[in-house]
Amino acid sequence: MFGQDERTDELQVASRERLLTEIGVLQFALKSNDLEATKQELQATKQELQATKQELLAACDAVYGSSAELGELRAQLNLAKDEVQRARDRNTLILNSATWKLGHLLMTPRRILLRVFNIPGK
Amino acid sequence: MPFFSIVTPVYNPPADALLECIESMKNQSFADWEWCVVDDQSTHKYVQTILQRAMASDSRIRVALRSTNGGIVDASQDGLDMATGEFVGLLDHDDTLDSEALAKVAATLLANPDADYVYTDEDKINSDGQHYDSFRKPPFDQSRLRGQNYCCHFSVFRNTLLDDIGGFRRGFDGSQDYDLILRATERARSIVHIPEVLYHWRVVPGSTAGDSTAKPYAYEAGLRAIEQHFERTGIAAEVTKLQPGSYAHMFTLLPTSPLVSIIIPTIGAKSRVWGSSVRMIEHLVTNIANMTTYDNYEIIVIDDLNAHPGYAVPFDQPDHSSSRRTSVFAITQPASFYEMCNIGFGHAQGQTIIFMDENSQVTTPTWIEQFLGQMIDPEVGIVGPMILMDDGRIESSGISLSPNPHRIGWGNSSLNPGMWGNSAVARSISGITDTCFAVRRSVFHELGGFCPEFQHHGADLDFCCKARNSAYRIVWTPTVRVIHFGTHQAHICADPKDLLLLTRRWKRYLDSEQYSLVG
Repeated sequence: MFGQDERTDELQVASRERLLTEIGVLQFALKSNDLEATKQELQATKQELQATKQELLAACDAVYGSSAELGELRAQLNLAKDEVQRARDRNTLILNSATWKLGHLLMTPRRILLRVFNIPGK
Repeated sequence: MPFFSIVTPVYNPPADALLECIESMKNQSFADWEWCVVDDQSTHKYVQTILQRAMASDSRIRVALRSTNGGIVDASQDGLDMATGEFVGLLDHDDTLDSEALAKVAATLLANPDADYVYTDEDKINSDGQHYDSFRKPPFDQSRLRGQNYCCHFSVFRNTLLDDIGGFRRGFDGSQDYDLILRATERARSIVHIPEVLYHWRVVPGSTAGDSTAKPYAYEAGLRAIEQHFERTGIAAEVTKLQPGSYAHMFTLLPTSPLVSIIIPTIGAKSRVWGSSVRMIEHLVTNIANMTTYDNYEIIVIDDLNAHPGYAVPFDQPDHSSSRRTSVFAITQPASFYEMCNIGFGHAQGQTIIFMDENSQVTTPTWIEQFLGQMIDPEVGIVGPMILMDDGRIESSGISLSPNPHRIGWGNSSLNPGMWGNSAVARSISGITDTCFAVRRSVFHELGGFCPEFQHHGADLDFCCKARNSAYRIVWTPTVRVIHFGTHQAHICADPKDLLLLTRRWKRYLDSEQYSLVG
């Protein structure tokens, strides 16, 4: 029994020594530049995260803005197309009118003469 | 095609007004209707004579005579009981319908088969037959309906919906239609507004149209109708009377108390506040700490170091365990107000974000509760307050986009309710200013925050347009009041480049103001 107690004491001393060594190593690490470097790294990462968040916001806004501008341009395009169509319709109406056809008929001799004598028209 | 039942309770109307009312029904271009007229024991004998003649002249006119005088609620309910149509419209005995009214409602119902409730614009008509006070109403707006019966005339309901809600209720005399509309809109699948004046409200002595103080009992009944609406919808709010016909509601108990982030960009501005020269950021942060009743908030100050060399913002207490913490984040790169707001959002933890101009001061202790209360409705994305000048006049009760973006109510007394109560009741609106507003975190993130391309003004309106484009509602509430110190201008977005960018993106909104139309 006595011998067992002695061994236990030795083990306890050894464990304490190991722990003290570990603590010493950690304390050294804390005092060293590693901690400062880690802090700086964390700060830089935080800043990077902030910048990324801002970029993400700006990207979302750009998508919304571009989509809105596209919508407006499409609306303008549709309006312009409608206007062109209306002009075409008006033109067709004029070309099909009796007044236009009569005028066209009356002007036919003039057109023929101009073409025969190669005189620039209009 | 839908079949309409028009319900009209009658009690001693002027003879000429009743005749015009009958004529307006007979002149409808749309033919599929019945008119359910209930005479509530009129004491003037001519009333029955006129009604009997009308009934004889047109088989679609049905007249019932009550044996006792039961008041407007009982008479209106009798009319509803007579109605056999798929849709029921309400017409008062001295008002008139536009000859195209039923035709246009029918066309709207055909285009919107789910519509359970349709309302139109209205105007007033005086004894000389002149039309005035044209009320150009907004699309359906629950927030506004809680403050005034803006839908009112001409209202058309699906008959089955009225059956479901039990028709008119006794005890709401004078505001029985308001109570009916509140209950109907709670259950309606779809509500459609026809932006055309199809109803003419006659102004006669003693009518509510001419004098909103004429029926004080109606005013009380309206208050009860709103209180019961809040009870039914499970929202704790205290309703108070404003000027007759308008009501305010203050949210008293919120279902949750989420963290709110208040973001304040600062350039360390120094200004005079009622005679004292103060640093505005210090004034505002102290004001918020002293005034606010809501506990779970954080203040995030974005400090532009370049703008104030030699001055340090003194509030940095980033104690993350504290519920009322203040953090200061310094920036060294030049940034616009809107970019500073975006940077602040990057640091914010709250589910709701409030942006504030440092030149402001809150005067409502429950301001955060009121913002959050308006956001109970999930489609509300942004809430803005009444902005006052330091002399008490209105700087802004919201933004109207037409003809050019401008502040509503600018320069008016804060006691002035504005046209149709536009500066008195909480309502949906096209835009709010960057002086102070609250936004859901998810909405701000989804919409990409403020556009950094705007240099001076306009990013706030651009943000509002983005929100509207994504089907979020913007609500302005007069129950939160914020004083804005400094220069005041009626028109906003004065910088041509900013206006050009706004127009390039949102011409469709700038050309078609929906919420603040006048005349």
